Amino acid sequence: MNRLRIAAVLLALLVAVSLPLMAQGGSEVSDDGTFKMTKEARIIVPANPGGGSDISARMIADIVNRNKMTEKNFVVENRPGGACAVGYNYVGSQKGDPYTLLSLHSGNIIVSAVNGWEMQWDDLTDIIAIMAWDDVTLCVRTDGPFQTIEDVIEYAKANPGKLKFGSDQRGNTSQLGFELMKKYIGLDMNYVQYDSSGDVASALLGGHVDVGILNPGECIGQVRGGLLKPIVTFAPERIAGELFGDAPTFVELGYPEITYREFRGLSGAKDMPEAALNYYVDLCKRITETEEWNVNYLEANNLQPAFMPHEEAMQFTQEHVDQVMQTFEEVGYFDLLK
Amino acid sequence: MENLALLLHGFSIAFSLENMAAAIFGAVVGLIIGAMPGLGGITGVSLLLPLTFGMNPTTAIIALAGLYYSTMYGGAFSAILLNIPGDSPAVVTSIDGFKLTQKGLPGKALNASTVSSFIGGTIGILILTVSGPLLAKAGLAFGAPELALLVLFALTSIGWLLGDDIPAGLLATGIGLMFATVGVDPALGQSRYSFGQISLLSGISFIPMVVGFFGFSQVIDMIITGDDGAVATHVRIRDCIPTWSEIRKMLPVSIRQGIIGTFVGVMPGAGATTSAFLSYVMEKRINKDRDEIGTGSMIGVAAPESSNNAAAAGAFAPLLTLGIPGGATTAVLLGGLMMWGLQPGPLLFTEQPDFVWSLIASMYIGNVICLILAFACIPVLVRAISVSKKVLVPIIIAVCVIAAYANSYTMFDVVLMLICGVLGYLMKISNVPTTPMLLTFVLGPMLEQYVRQSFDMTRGNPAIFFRGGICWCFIILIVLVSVSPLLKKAYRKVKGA
Repeated sequence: MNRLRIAAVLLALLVAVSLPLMAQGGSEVSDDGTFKMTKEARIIVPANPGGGSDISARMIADIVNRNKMTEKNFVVENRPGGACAVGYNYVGSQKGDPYTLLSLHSGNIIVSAVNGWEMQWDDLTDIIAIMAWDDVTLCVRTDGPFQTIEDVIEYAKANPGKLKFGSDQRGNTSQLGFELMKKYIGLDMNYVQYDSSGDVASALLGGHVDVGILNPGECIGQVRGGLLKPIVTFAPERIAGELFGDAPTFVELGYPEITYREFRGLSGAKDMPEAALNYYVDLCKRITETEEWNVNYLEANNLQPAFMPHEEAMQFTQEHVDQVMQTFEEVGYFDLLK
Repeated sequence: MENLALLLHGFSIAFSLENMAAAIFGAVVGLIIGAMPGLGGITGVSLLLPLTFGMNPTTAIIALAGLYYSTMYGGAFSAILLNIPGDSPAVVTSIDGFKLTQKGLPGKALNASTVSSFIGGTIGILILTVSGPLLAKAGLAFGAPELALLVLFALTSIGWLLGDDIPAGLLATGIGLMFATVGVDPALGQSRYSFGQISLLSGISFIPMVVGFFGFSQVIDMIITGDDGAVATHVRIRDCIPTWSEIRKMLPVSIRQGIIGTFVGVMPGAGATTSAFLSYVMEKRINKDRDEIGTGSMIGVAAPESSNNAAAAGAFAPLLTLGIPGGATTAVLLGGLMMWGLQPGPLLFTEQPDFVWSLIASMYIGNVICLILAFACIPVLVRAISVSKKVLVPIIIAVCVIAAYANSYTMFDVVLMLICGVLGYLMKISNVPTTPMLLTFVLGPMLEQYVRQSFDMTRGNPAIFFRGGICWCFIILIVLVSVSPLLKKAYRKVKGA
């Protein structure tokens, strides 16, 4: 009798495991010189809803669907986890599929290289287009001890190992900012890592860190409210607008090497048919020309307009990655991990 | 009194047809999502947020906020009836709640949880209304060192959760910590014990694990024991209604834990789950009926339920007044604000008063809706539990598999759930308690992260844990709690001699 019951448990287990497996289907690829969408395309977001990658993906999907720019709709699917590794590797598993797209953010690409993933960004995905620049700033509290970048540099030089630099995650573009300052100004600061930029902002507001590295979109509310103040930007030119326009660039301060920009856009599964890739490149171009994109997305989130199609974008990104890896190498970050 | 006028204005907006519908929709969906094992507030809000893209922001936030605090009511249902916590804040509720069910008193447990959820939630909203901005500023005082000590304080409860068999309890504690270590290390970004599995990079997921350890192990147990009876039979209506003396005991607990829960909810990072654990520990220490807690006591249900609902309300303070998230679910809502075209930040209160105050007003209404809905569910739920196990077992298996799969839409989590279920069953038959394991699994990673952040700040100088009054308060509390049994023993000896 007992054996029967155990057999029943095993059978239940088997059924439980096999049921969802049966639900998977294949994907067809139509390729006759010109590509036409025959089913919905998914934009995978390698992060939770509400983050920067999610907002850009939903914006793209909304513009495409609302203006009926494609034969079939775009849908957004969140696959967070492992600092974007889960989402990236999922897209990697859909190799050749013209209906699996990915919300592109340069920070994620840097993570794949710096953290030494087995399969890197360019093994897993092809960039369709770079569609916006997301600049990076350093912020301080308005009622804190430091009010300008000069204050920060002076203090950090006089007190090595004292200044607390709040940042989100590691091995990404936020850490790049930290490492560049270390390398070219010789600042010895403490890198304090939080889960998200929201946590960095709250630590900064509470006075638990002295400076925080944030995108304008992540701190614009607090800057307008007079709680935080941007003191410098990593962009090659000052960020437009009165809120961020007073923050100098590192170029102005005499450190032209401390310059980089994050970028956003759209990627797709590796090796999709060329016709499909061209179809999406053209689509991205048209999206960036819409008013919704420029007003509701770029302006609302303080992003700068950009457009770089597939080949140019891949080359640009590769150069960016090489440069970042060299910086991390030179500051001895990889030795630290050994 | 300006707040009162604004609040009344908020009520006038919240009472509009579309906003009332949104609140009821949020409450109903939240109750269901909360009650479904594996789906909690964060999953619910994440699933529904995309649907609100392009909606009127006020209506959207009323629906999502309603959903969020409603999951706190629903989460307790399956925790009490089936020992499967619907979401992570309800883990603590299941400790005493399920014992009450086994005693044949599921109705009492459900009533206690619903009433104290309402009290806690309402206290949280009251505090939010009166002192939202001040509260948010107070929360900012908690940095990594303070939060590390807070978590350490919560962990002091392990001592009595271990049960009679100390080595078995310590084993469970160790397993919990071991599970918690898997995944990308929070300080250096290197993967630990992930064995090249991409699904393990973000660690072992809490939901499939809990569903396995609680739900699936229960199913295995039911099948192998093989009696065809119900979990609780002959539930009389008389046994569902709390007596006056029970209410008198519960009320001060709900109020006290409601106030504390609100403050815990405001702190960055510490959310409803932490507050539920903390409240339970605290009552276990200070309540005069503390010996009953852990054996199936209504106080043991009331404390965490009041506290987690209050924390859900408290988490809105930093979101609305500073534009920063108070916890994981409000972090998703923060993204929502941006999607709806609002700019979260300190100016939200002055620039979007209609939005903020109608949200707060809707929370009062929503809590009443949740209370009524939950009360309406209780008789049905109590009857459902008296169903024969023959019927119940397949249903629970299906629910467990779906809950695990829904976590990340991968089979990996289903397999993980099944493994945890078998492990949970083995632990059950060898009398190893699961509660200490869950406690360390939830709090371990938080402690690690906060401690490493503190060390990041000072390059490894532990002096940072002794900065300021908040730190010292926690240190004194931790020491007191740890040495109190020794002191008691010494006192008795002196008195006896």
